[in-house]
Amino acid sequence: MCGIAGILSLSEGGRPPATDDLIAMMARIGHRGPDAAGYMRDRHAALGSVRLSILDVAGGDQPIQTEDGRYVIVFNGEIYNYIELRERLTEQGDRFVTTTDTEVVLRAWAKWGVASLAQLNGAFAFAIYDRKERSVVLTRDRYGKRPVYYTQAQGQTYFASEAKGFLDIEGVSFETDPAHLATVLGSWTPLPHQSCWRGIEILPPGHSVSITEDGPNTPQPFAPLRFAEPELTASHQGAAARTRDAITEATRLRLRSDVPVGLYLSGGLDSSIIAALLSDMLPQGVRSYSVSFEEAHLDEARYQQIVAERFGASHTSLPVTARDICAAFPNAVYHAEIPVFRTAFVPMFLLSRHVSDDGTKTVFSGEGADEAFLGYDLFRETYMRREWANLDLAERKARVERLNPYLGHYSNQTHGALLGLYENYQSEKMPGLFSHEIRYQNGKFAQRLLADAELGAQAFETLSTYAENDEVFAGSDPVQRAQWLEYKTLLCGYLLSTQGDRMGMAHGVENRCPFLDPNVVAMSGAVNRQFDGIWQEKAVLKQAFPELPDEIRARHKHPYRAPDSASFVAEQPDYLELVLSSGELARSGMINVSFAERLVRKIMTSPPERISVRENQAFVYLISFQMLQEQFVTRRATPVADRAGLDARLTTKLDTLEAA
Amino acid sequence: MNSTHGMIKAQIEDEMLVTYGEDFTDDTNLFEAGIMDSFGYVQLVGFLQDTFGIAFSDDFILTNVMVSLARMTEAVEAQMQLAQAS
Repeated sequence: MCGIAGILSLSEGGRPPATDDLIAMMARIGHRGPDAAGYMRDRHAALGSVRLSILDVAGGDQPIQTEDGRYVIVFNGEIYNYIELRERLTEQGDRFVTTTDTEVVLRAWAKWGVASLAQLNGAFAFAIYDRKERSVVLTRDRYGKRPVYYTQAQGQTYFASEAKGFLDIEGVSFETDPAHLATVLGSWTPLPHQSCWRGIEILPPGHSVSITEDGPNTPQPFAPLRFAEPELTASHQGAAARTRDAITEATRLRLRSDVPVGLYLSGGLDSSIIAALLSDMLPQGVRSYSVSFEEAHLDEARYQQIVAERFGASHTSLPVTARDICAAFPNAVYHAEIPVFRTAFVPMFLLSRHVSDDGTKTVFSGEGADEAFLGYDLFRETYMRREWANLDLAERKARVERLNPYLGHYSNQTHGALLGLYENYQSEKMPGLFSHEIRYQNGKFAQRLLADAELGAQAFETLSTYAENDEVFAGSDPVQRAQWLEYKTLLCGYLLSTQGDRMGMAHGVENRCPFLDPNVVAMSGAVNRQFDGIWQEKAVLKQAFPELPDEIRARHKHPYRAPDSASFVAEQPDYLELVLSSGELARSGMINVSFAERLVRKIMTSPPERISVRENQAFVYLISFQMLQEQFVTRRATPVADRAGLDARLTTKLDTLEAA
Repeated sequence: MNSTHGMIKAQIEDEMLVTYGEDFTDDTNLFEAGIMDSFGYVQLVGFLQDTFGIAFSDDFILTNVMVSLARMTEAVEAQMQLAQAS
């Protein structure tokens, strides 16, 4: 795991990339690679790496180049099947200098070109510079675990693992893209190609982009998302066994590390499965980590403890309070780089610091299981709404009673009202977005924060078009469409990024997700709804792992959450002025000040039980947006980059210009 | 406008941070306008039942989806008349 950055000046007479600019970019993303740093520079390109050493700790410094000097790579992430790929390359005559996965990617690209990309099983973003062709290719893994951004200024193309890498580059200004902001407010996340910053591109997951002297070309997909796997012709038992095999192999592959691995233990089914597997695979046991809350409805410590005890994990639980969340919020938002709709990413920021302090650099997590194995009630709700007209009253009530038990307003007393709610949502009103219409209708509330009211509707039109233009989406049934939207929005736009990569890498901790192994995702497509009738949550997984404690198997999915607006109301941090002052609210020109004031007044004066989920979300959006303006736009509160720390670990310098 | 209408209108304005005439009218579909969410709907149904001393049956609520201020007012008045008649 690492961070990468680069400056490309690929035209014949272009200004050579400046070392100082590259170093400044590397310093900005230095948290991603606390162990080593290095760069190469020639007349047309400068490529930098800050490294978190996981494989070949001693010999894996970057950049790495081929013997003939044609190809140079800077790499962020892990390729879990690198040993198998290395064997194939060796059989075909390649000779390796290091034992890193980075060198495998480099040689695979040199030998197989674009065809190498779909063979990579991992979490990665990398840049390969082809000196002969004077071009660079940027590539990002298929589900969006590792990020890479690029932009153009002063006739050069810049790329970096995080947008903040461009903060100190002359000619790159940070302005919130209003269309992207409207998408975030409406649907919780940006679309995969939206960075939230005007003029700054993010490479979508499963894409690569070629950059030549004319600048970046259109990104090309190399691993489209698929759901229509051939159905598994097996018994329940056979399906469970095959599913177990796929997850076991994915976990085994992800144990390839030259440093100790840990586990984020949520107390839910998915991380418990990984705990079970790791207890078999690691004779010394596993170190597991979690957060706990004072608020009983958020806290899962009891279940975490049950799993840790059952599988012999050495477990640490980090208590997180409202005060902790408020104190860490500015720093966590700086790392997130986009407006956020809940505070749950902040405890993950604190947890990764704790994990790093504990000497663990890489952690397993259960991320991806809910999308693959239909863990969210959204999928069952979609199915129910599609069938609604054919259900009698008793069936409707029975279905509604099984949804969202963790939400206070989904109790026995409210099922009558909820019947009326769903009666209104049985037919599609937003083209292609049937499954997510209730969420998106609620998103319209947060979009009222926008000064330009037209942007909200445009954002949903963009989302509809984006989905309907995708061949896989167009050919999918409503539940698969719901999955597609989850992969393309919440998973890559929040769970893997804001709550995942960014919070982990803020403290040099990388996460590994067996449920995002392509073979596991394919297996889920082959078994979903065949063996559980959709209404039994993750029935195949539960059958596949009978050793899980009964308490875990019997639990309904409990979404991970943290205290939201109540934290800010209770703690009254200084930065609350950003949303309390009408002058501050008006500063960006993008906020509907009168609605924002009304929202803030309600949040600040109402008891927590009177605050709805969407009001909480709108408030967190608002305060994070305001904070990002301070950090990235007006620069009134931009954190200082650790330039001295970077200089101290800058050991690899391949500078042909300086040498000349 | 009668008091039922006024009371419901005021409740919508207070709870959903909207202004009558500006953000919604009698016939605005409050779901589609992004004004009402599931939480708000459940709260509002509870408010109507508590405030006006009525109880919506499941059948009634399925055939009289209260998506707008006008529909809510009609539903409440119909239920109140029913209660008086019985």
